[in-house]
Amino acid sequence: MGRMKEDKGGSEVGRKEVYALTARGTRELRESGTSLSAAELELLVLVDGSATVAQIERSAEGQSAEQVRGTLGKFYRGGLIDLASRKKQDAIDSGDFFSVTMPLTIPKSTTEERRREASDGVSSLQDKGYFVRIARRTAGGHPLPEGRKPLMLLIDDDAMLVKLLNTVFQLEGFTLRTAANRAGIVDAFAQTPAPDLVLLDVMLPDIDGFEVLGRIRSHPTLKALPVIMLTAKATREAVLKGLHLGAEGYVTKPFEIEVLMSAVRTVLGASGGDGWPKRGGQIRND
Amino acid sequence: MAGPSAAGRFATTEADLDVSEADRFAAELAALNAEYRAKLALRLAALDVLAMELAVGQPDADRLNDLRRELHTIAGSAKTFGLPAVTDAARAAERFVDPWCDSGRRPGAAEWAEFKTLLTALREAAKSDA
Repeated sequence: MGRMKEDKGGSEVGRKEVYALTARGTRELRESGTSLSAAELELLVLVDGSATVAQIERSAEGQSAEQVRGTLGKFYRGGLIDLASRKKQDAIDSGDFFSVTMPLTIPKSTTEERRREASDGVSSLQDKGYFVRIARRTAGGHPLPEGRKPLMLLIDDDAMLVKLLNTVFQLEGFTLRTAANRAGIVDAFAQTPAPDLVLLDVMLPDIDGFEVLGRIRSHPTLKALPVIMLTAKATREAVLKGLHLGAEGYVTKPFEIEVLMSAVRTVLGASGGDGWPKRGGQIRND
Repeated sequence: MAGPSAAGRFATTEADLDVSEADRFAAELAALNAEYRAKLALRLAALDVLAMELAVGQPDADRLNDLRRELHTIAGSAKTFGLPAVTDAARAAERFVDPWCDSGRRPGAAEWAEFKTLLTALREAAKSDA
């Protein structure tokens, strides 16, 4: 990182601002020969395009708020991060998605908590057809965009289901992007803007949906992306695996449209009022 | 609210959704349901052919997985398109095939015969749901 300018303090970064990694910042994370300290690297990982500087200050362990802002200012001047609203989205290049090798961050919860959550999840799947993790939902990790329709990435190889969901979610005010296999997934994440929500089938032709989820969660710029798993496997083991990898929710297949919409609304933190793309419409299967 | 339309099985319950938009949406969904049913008939016919070829031919793990995968896909979508009996029948057939794929074991003639009855049940379910 020899081209970084000299640190002159962190006054440029505002506490309410949201920053994202630039392509250079992404490379810095991936390169083994980085000159950044461990504390600086940890901070760079926390810059995810959705967390404010104030949130990063709270998440950075063992560093004062002033230190965090100072380091972020250094990153900003060095071209490693930029304002998320201004940043060019080309940082997510097509080669990134399946080649980034950052270690997966495991949520801090005990095994017992995880098991209890998995049991609750299976009960909810059996009763309601969907399960949404309250802890992740309320974290507020991914705000809906302003000035454009929210973009949903649907990863499923069932062409008729994709067609149906395209119709439904367009009515609800979403833009839909689709992928049916590994190559399609790479292509979908290479396009701009990045999606605001992912619906992810577990059983894909040439890749396991859980592997895709793991890749999303270990990706520097995609890790906060809300993901709902579409799965026919509503077993405790499957839910536990998804919890471990960081899925926000599950919807069992086959699903009723309204059940899927409920899960999407819950994950996006929208109850049909503020923040819901169009007007909170409900669709049911008569 | 726009109530259930005669055009299809889906309807919006949105209070402020105007009738013309609701009807258009219901018509689109009805068309998708019809398309699904039409394609399902072709898919079931293809499943029959694949099962017959596998029963009499050499063991082929990839094609056996194709068989399971197609059953899995049908089971995972038919009910969403208003065909619950098809989902149940496809699921039963998928579960029957699961051990073959997981173990790599070649099924015997009796098992293929039993599987054939499950495919017949699947075709019957498609007729009854329609």
